Amino acid sequence: MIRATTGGVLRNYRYNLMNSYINQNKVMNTLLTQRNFNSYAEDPASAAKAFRLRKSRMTVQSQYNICSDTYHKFQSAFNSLESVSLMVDNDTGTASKTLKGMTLDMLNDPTGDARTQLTEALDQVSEAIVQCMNQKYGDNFIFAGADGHNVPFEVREMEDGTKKLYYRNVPVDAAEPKLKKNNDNTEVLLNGDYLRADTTLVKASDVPEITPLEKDADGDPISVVAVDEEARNVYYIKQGATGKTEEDLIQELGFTGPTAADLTDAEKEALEAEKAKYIRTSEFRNPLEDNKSIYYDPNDLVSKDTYDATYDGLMKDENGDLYSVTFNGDTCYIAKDSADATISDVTISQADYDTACSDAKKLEYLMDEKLYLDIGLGFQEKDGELIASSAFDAALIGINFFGYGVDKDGDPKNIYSLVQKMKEIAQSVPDGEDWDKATWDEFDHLVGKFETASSEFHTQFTNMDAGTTKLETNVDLLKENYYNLQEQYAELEDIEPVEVINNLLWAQYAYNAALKVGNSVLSQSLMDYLS
Amino acid sequence: MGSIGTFDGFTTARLGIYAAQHGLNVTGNNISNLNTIGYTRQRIDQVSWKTGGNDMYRSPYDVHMGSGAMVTSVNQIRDPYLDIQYRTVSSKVGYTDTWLSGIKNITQTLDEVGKGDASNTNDKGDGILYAQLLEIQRMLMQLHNNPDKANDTLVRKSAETLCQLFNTYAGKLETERKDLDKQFTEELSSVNEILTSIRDLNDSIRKAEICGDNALELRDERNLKIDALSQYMHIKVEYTMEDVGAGKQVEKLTISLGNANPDADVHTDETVLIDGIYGAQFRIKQVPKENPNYDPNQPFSPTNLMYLDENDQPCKLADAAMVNDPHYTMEVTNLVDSKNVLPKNHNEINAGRPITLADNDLYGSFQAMRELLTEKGEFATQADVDADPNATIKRGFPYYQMSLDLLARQFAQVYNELNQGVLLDEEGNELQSLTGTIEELESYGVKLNQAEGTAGGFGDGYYVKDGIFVGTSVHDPCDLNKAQISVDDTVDEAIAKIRDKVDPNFGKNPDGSEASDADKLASLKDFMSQHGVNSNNVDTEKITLPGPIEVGGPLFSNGNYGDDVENITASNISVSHSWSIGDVKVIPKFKVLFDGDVEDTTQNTNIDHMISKIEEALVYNPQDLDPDALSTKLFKGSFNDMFNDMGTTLGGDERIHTTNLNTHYSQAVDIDTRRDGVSGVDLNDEAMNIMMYQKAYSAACRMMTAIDEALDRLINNTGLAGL
Repeated sequence: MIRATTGGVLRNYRYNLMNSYINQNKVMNTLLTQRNFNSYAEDPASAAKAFRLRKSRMTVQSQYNICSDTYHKFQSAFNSLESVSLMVDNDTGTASKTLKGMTLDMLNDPTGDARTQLTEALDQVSEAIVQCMNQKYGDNFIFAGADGHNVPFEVREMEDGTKKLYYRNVPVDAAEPKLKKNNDNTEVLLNGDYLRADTTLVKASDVPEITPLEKDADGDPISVVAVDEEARNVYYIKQGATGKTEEDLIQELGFTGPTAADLTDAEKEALEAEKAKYIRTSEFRNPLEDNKSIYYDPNDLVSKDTYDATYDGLMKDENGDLYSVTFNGDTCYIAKDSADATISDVTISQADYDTACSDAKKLEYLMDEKLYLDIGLGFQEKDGELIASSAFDAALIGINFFGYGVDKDGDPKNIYSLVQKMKEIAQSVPDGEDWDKATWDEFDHLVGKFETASSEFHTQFTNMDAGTTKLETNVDLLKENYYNLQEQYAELEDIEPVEVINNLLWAQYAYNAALKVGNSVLSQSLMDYLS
Repeated sequence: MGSIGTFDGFTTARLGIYAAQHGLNVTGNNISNLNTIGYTRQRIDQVSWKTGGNDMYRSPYDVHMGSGAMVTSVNQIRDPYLDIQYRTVSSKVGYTDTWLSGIKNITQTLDEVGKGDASNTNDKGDGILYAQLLEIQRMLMQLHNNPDKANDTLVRKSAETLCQLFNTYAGKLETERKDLDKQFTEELSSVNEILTSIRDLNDSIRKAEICGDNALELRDERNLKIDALSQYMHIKVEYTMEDVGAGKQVEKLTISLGNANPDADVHTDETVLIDGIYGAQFRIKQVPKENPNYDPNQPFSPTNLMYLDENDQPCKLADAAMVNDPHYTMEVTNLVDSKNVLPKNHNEINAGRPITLADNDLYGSFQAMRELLTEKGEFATQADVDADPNATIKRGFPYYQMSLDLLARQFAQVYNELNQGVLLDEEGNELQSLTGTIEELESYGVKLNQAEGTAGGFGDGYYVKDGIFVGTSVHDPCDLNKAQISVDDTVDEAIAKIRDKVDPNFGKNPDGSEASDADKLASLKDFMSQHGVNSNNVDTEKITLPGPIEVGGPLFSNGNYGDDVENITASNISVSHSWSIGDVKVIPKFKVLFDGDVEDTTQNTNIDHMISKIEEALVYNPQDLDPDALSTKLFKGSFNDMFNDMGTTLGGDERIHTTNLNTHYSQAVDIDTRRDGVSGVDLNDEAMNIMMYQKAYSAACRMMTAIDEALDRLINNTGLAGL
């Protein structure tokens, strides 16, 4: 600079003084706001990062609330299940008050003294278990899967007086009925109904052919009893067979008779020889006269023993006709599994089958139902679908604990249903009477299944407990995460007081110094020395 | 030796006194104007004066000497190079300062650093709109956790707040933009006033110069005006000599634009603004007012014309109202003098016509305002890039407004799409049909409206879907034997439909005459009832809707008065009318399990989608807002990230302009100080001048005394010997 003029010096001074003042103001603002930056412009990278951290913190906070809420829901579930556990099978408590204890008591009560009381207790405890499984947390039912607003379990009394358990309007024992299938995988049909898979079929060709029998008005085969025999065997009359009277035989022999008394000895002898070819029965039937022995050709009669040996194991209709179906192209009869088995035991209507399939499908769906929550595991979607591993499945499916469907024997797997079945069996034995072996065996069999279901319940209980632990850990993790994030953005945003106060003091010092300079910047000039 | 005038010495001394007196006066003037802005230090020009010419017969022994000092003029001390430097940097200061000022105005709205409360903590700084975007997420999570009506309402309230924030921010930005637009108009007037002043000053200076006056004070004033003009635009200042006749030449000032356009082929950036006593003016190009509702795909009609007249009615070009060009294209008028007369060489200046400036011809605060008002950054179109190759990296108000609009539109689109769809079965296939009561169907999100106050006058109690009456399970809904009686039909229109499709004698008396209106209405209701549309049984009877069954509805619209989802922007985004009155709610799921046999009241898969969308990285495509935009990707990230990016971009721009302003301003101060070093008044200097001229004055006076004494000796005391 060639010349430093008054105006130039003042301009420079003003410029620098303003800078000093701006600087002091800036530091003062930093101190007052306690923030390292108050706009994006001051530190764009840090500001953007701080916002992201704050966003994460807010998200974590929401996740924490949800996780904590879910944790408490799981804790409530744990408490409920613990109560259920005590009622199902308690290793440490009073065994006799548990379902398991009671069923064992019943098994070991051969005289049946307390069977009725135990049956009632069994019923009450199982009802109590259902009530436990209908517990609510807040406004939602805990074990209702994704249907928290509706009661999950409902016991419905059927027309026959039995009780059935429903889970979300679906019978818990629903299972797809197994059907008898031909080799080409087509169902075996009987009058439009499906034949169950376990139905035993007997080829018609393997069954001795028996001529149709004469039947009475009720459709029962007409039987006759052989006389002159100690065994007095019973025979059924083949259709069309009419039998003969003694007079008929005399007539056939060409004797003049007309009765045996009218015959010669030789004729009598010949008549007796002829009679020996027939079976004499004491019964009569129209149009033959009553009170006369009827002689039947043995070929026209079927011994009841023979008949029963051939047909008793096969299903017959109300007319006594065998049910026949076509199986792999063969005509087959349906074998009876037990004496009192009926056709309804081996068939299922298409409508019932469809309903059962639909119910089974519903149960399968409900079992796999998810209720995903964002508890800080990522919660991301791929192709419009949530990535399962990025969320927590908070659905507590009641039937998952309680069991559902049927086993390979067709017995229910659900604890309540098993208990009901056991109850029915127990009730079938008259009070005070001893178990018959078959019933006892069946009961014992179910007790074994009950133990399996109970074991499954404990397994699921333990699994859920693991989920609770996971939530608990996650709650702690989120809490820690929350504070970490807060710490991180605080590190970015919050001032270091010592540094900022030092800066402010320095800025004030600089500004004060600048003011002092201003006081003397134009204080002297040559003018002041002119005289 | 030549003759010596007796009283020459007096003249010499007197000239010395005069010169010193002038010197003192100029010094006094300098000191007086010490604080006068724009004052240029003056000094006297004095020369040694000699009288007489050369004698024809001059003796070689003759001695000529000067006759004293002559003050020839008073001049300014100024360095033209520093003026050029100063004015160049001044335009930069003007440019960056205006940009920064504009950016700060945007910052006031969009920069949320340190603003807003923090959730659950005592500190601040979660942002406002930023936090509200997350609040929606929080509310959705709450709804997900407990899907009841109260939480649905909370989500809606949260969405309403978000919409209001969008509206407020957009409103503030628009207000700031309008203020800037107003400021631009005012500054345009200021620039034109400056140009007029300079032209008039040129005239005055020219006249003064012709009369021999340097008109220094007028020049100072003119320099101030030129300095002021240089802040508005980059200019080139030239001084040439103009022959005013009789051999007299005076200085002529020419100001032209300073060749700011980087395109070397463009020469409009050298347009002359001032040529001596002639000056031009700036104006915004006027264009016909376009009709925003004009549809080029439709034929011309009185309502579909390209332009609007003064009354905002569609019109042809000839009748269109003229408005400022939305691109703020500038024009420079012809140069005229103060009497509005064109220069004689009119055709040689600016090609003799008004000049339409190219987009980058200006540089300075004027250009900064133009850019702030027009630059769209990544939303720039091909036309914008053609006008300015850097258009995609310049971000003014439109950029931030459009970014906010795009964010609002994206947000609305995402959630509107998520909240609309068709019902699916448990396996995710489209539901073929659904049967249920009105209440049950509505619980799935099927929108059935009550036909209250309909045009047809059917009265209340009927339910309609998509404007068609809903039937019961007896008949297909919306069928009515294909008559398709709409809620908008009048009774006569409905009857006409039935006559056309079903029964030509419907609504007629047995004799074929028209039935009375009352009978027609009764017949119509009977007909509807026969076809399952009954106002009395809708609560109990089940309706079977055929697939696809659309459910849900838009959550956001371009105004609360309807459900129109077209052209949603930050300024008009609103919770849709249907959502606000409860006709539409947040659809928690689209699946209906096993035809409704199995309920899943707390299943919220759709809310899962909604929550995950908050975090999902979405592409923000400028073409979604302006199909002509060149860029297809402004940003990819979540809603919050997008807003954060706007802040970061804004912060980056502010930072750049702050740095540039500091640099340019520092340069300007430096150059101005240097200019002051040449032209400024310094007290020490002037004190020296005082002493110098005072001593000269004293010396001249002393000289006069000496001559007086000498002449006194000669006149009064010479030749007295012997007397």
